Amino acid sequence: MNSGTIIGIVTFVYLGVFSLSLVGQIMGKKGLARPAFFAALGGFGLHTAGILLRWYESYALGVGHVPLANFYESLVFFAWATILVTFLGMKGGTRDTVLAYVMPAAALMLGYASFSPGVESEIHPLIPALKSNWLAIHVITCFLGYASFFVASVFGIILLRDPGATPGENPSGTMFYRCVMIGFIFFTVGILTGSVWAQMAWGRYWGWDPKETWALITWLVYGAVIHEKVREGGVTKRVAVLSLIGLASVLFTYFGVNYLPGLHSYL
Amino acid sequence: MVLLFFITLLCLVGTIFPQGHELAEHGHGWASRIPSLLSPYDIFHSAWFLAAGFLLSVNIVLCMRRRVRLKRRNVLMLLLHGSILLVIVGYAMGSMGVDGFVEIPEGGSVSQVDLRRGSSLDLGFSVRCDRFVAEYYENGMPKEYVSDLSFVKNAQVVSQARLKVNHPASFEGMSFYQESFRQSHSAALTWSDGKKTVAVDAREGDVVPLLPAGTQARVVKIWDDLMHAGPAVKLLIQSPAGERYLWVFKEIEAIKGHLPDLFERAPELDPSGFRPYTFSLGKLEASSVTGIGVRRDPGIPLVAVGGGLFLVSLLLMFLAPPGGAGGRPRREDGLSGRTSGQEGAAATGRVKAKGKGSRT
Repeated sequence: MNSGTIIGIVTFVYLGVFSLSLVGQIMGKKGLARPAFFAALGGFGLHTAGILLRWYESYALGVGHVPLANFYESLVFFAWATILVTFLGMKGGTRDTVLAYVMPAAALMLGYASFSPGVESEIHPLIPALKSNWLAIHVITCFLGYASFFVASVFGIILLRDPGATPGENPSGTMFYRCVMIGFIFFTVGILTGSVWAQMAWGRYWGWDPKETWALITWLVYGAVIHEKVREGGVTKRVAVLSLIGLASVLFTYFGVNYLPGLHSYL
Repeated sequence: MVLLFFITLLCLVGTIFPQGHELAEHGHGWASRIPSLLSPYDIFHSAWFLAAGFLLSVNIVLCMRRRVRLKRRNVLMLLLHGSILLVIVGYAMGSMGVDGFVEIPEGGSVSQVDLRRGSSLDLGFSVRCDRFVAEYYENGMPKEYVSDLSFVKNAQVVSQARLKVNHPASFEGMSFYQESFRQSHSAALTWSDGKKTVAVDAREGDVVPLLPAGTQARVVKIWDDLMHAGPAVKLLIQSPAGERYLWVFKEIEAIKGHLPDLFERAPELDPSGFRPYTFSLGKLEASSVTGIGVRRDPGIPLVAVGGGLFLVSLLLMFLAPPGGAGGRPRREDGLSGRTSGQEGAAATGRVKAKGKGSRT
């Protein structure tokens, strides 16, 4: 069994968890939350094993590198990081609610990675520009940032759907802000490590490459989210809406930029 | 807030329009640069962007001053925003640095670099490429580009470095980056004017002087196989009487054997087509030319300090427990009632109580 097969299986596990949560929500069966959680946990374990196996496989091929070096690997890692943030950051009912949002997104990412003909899933050796110790730290921090922003938007949506939400007292508001902050910190580290790497590889720490510019846009939007939250004294609807703009910016930074000419074309 | 959005919008526009192509085409006069300062094609150097960066800095300074005036000893908050200021100032200092590019043929050396904004710079030493290697994986993907460089001053090799992608070198304050490479050919070119025969080794871009003085052949392009007819060079012959292109094939005799009326149909292929000269092409020698970025950025220390400071203060601000590692009791602003031990919320309450000072 190779890592590709495992990731394919995990896709269906996540889809299954999503279905369970959905049925549980619609039928009002709270009892389904528990099996859904354990299935998600199992899927996550398998997911982790898939990533580790791919790492091992790359060494077996003699081109060993961390599995964070192309679009396929980044999709798999993005999905993994999103679930990691959910598991580490939340518990109980909150976690189950967030899982209901995160699971379909993760399944979508993995499914796209595994089954889209446009996504190359083969393991390739590293081109000279990627041969750097900064690769792992830069990609991991950026994607942990993306993942936290993603989970923050889940809370943003929950807040927007809940008309009675009052700023300050609301646990979703607290979680929302925590996720934004964690994401902001990771994303800042991602940008900083990226610029150190860019300085080493390209001789300039900042070159207005579309990926860099969009990372700055995303960073500014989340900066605005934080300032607006501080100004309004809580996570109001404005803040939640702003964070959805942030998510759109994250997605464009990740996917959209590939359609613009630039140096980050391999991710 | 408005300012943040304006900058964000500018960045957005910047990624939509292709950047940096306009500037090179404009002249160097101050007046001719005005349109480029407002143009969407070089937005990150445009007046809009400069103004926005300046306004953001002013805004940060004003917000910081207000904090100071309010006697909130909120050192972290000051550090956090002050560090952005450092980054902006450091970035601005970058324009006083050097950003150039140089191509060195294997075995050759250079002492001047072309600056990306036009004009060139004398390095004050020379850089020699002793060896260039492009390694490939079995599947044909590039594996490594390596340039072995010697830095030569007063005819003495002062320092040597192995340049690879991700492994820059520096010498006398200049940093060198492996940026690109290309294969280049040198051609054994012979010309004769009926009285004199001269053989030269020519590369693309070289100018071969002919007799009488004032006449010359510029080597426009060298092919190792042009249209399956073997090696060829394209020359631009320039004389006071005028100029014309000439394609010189190594195997011209064989080609003419197949197409006896070739020169009538295509006189520019006749090696004796520009009287009184006759050209012939001998062997081509393939060699590598390494492309090296040459840079000096005096703003880097400031940017690095700013970036590091931002991160540290961000971490301290939001991850340290209240009253903890920040060095300052976090509840001294009398808001402990609202914060209820929740990270981040401490910052919220504090700023809210302070008023509307956070309109950044």
